[in-house]
Amino acid sequence: MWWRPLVGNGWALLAAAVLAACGGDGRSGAESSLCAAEGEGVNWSALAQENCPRLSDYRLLDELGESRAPALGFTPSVALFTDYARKTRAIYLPPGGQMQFDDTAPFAFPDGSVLLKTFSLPTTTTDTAPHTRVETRLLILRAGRWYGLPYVWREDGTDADLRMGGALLPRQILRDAVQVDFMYRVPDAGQCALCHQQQDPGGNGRALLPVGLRARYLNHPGPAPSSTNQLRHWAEQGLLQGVPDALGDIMSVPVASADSTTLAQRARGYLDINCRHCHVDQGSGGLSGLRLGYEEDPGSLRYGVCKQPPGYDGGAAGLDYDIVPGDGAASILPYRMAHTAARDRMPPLGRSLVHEEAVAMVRAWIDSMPPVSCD
Amino acid sequence: MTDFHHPAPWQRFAAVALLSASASLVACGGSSSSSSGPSFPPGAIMLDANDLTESAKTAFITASPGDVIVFPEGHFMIEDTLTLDGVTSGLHNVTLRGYGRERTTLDFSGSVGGDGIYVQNASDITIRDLTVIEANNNAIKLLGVDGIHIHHAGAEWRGDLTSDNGAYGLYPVESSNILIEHSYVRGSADAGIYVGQSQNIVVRHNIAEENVAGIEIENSSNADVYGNIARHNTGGILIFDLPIGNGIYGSTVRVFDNDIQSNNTDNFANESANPAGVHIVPPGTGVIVLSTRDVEIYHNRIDDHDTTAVAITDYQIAGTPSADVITDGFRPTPRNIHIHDNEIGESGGDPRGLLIETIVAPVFAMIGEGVPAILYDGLGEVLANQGFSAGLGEEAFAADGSDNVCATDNGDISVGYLFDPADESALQFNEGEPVPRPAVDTGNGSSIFCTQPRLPASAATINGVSYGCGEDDDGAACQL
Repeated sequence: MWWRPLVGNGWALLAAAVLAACGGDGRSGAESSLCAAEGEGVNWSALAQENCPRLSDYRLLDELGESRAPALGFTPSVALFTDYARKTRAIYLPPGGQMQFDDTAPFAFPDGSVLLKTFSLPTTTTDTAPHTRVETRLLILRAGRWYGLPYVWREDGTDADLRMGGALLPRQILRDAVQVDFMYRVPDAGQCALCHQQQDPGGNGRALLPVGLRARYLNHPGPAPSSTNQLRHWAEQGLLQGVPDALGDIMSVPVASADSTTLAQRARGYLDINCRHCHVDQGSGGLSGLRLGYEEDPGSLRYGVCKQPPGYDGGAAGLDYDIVPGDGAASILPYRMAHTAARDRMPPLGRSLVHEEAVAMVRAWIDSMPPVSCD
Repeated sequence: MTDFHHPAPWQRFAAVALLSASASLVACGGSSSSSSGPSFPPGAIMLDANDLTESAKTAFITASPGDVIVFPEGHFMIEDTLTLDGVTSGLHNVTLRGYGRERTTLDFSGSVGGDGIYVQNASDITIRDLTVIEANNNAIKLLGVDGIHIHHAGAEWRGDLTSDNGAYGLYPVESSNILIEHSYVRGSADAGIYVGQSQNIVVRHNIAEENVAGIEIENSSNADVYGNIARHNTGGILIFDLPIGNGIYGSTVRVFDNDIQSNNTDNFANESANPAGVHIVPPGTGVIVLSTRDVEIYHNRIDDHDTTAVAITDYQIAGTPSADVITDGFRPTPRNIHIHDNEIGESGGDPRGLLIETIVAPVFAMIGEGVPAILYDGLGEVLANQGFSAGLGEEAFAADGSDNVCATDNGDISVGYLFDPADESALQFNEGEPVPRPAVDTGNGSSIFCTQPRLPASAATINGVSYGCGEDDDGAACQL
């Protein structure tokens, strides 16, 4: 059994804050004083115990909206696509806390750690400024368990409000000078687990875990002006324990924007960060049999080559195989990437627009494979 | 948001009335004051009709053990999948309910999400007294849940029967201890009630009509399907094992006391490359057993089927399983199947469907026969007995008969086989394909007149209470 009995934790407190009080069921309570407490620097005590109604209650950002010390910025080698949103990421380790390195699993974090990601929409699909902040998602580690909290930025940009139910936000973006209307979807807190759910390396069944904080995405120089490898840099600062001496031996996803990265590497890296969180052994896409991690053999059945999907009928085009080598147009993988309707699109969550550039890239990669007849 | 919400005037009126009563997202429930309405336990969480998507999401996300979450009466547009996930909180004993199957309708036709209601990583979940309509993918899906009670619930696609309809109506998967009863499913482009990769299952007293598959038990073990009505589907009740490759395969399924009528709807599933996808189900079929072992089909009333009343088939009739899935535990050949005491009416008047038209009907036509009422392909049995499928893990059928497919006391109906199990001569091959040797007999004069030991009843235990024959039910069906 992977569920455990509910113990006193943030959910019960959250219920008090969000639900109307229902007498006699133990949920009554006023808004937390920890959230409203005045103070300097990050509000660690509120983070540890409360789901605060305003992002500013945690004091993770300064007056200019920048991440406040001790935030660690980082840049993954590849990025999950979210309707062309630009993302700023930060790790907050509690004072004296350290991350623990692992060569495959997400790093282990000390209790009280916070991962912050802010999503800002550009005016065009080519990332033209200005960028408007839409949402900030927090992952907070409390008593060994991660909790996901979605905050939606106010129109005036002054603060972001907790929206456990997520939000559907009508937005526009220019693609090739044509305005595209779309519904930006802030996932609800229950949907965090659709992507962030994995087998717990500690053996506790399924658990909510970070996706991007793995060695494979971080084994390269960090954001300018630093030119030091991010893993090495954190190790030298005493923030990341257990980093091996030979970083070259770690299985890593090449930096998508680097000139030296080949088309195949770029396509496989894209599929890794966008798909692997479900398409991995024991992942929530497990039934499909499709496995899209960078560690997989891209010529294998597991990777989709001449593989029939058990749970998909091929769509209106009636396609048969996930990857038909040499024929991107006949391959289900880029076909589902190119759709937005719920029954056809992949990934199922977090994308309302087609990432045309990525579809073209994956198709081009499949086209470049030596042709094989799957029938 | 208003684009997605088109309440009828009377609904808007009701919503305003509710809103004026409480401006909060969630109000507190108690016993309903209406004498005709259902009653709810003290502390029930009454969702806000004026903002139902967000109200429901909030209640789902903040759910605690013991919660009863109540959807209001009326027809409501829901804007997204409603997800109940216990991965962080270890959720158990939660009820999601409405005012009645025909009184609370959740309409997902404008939803941005795939599924209607989606539950995972929880235990002892009850869903009752509401209907989900027009979901993009599945109406009510539960993954990895131990203890599921769905009753007086509905899952419908109400328009034309097209491949654009969603896949599964009531859909527990990789779950255990499942009771689905007194529910209604209509219009799914795959299976109306689908239980997959699960154990300890009771499906009873439901109505499944105008789906591709009415009720399907797939890769699941210990299931009782009884007292249901399956009518006007493409296939009425399907017991399938498919080479899914996750180590979960089915056995021990009883199908009894069901009314399986007029399942003659043309197949409206999308074509797919999956050789045993639901698009291959022949229109006009009452019951199909595909590759599952230990199945008992008895005392059903099976009438008016254009193709066949009961079909027992091997996966090899449709495709060849890969070595990987054999290693994983999949076996293509159905064994220990007992079809007895069924009332079988008309069948075979207009046989159709790809496998029927290309393989089955032409083979029987060679001997001047139509498609029989009980159709056993016999392919896996002869391949196994003559050593041709040892590579698929299929040994010869046991000499004591315990692997046999048996039909007993089903009346004077036709019983036929593509490969007659009574024929022990060497199988011939033509261009690598085994050459059929069809035969058709009548009633107990058939080559598969034999009996098997009765199978045990199955039970579902939910919140410490067991359901099923010999548990909460000692009725006539359970005595059959």
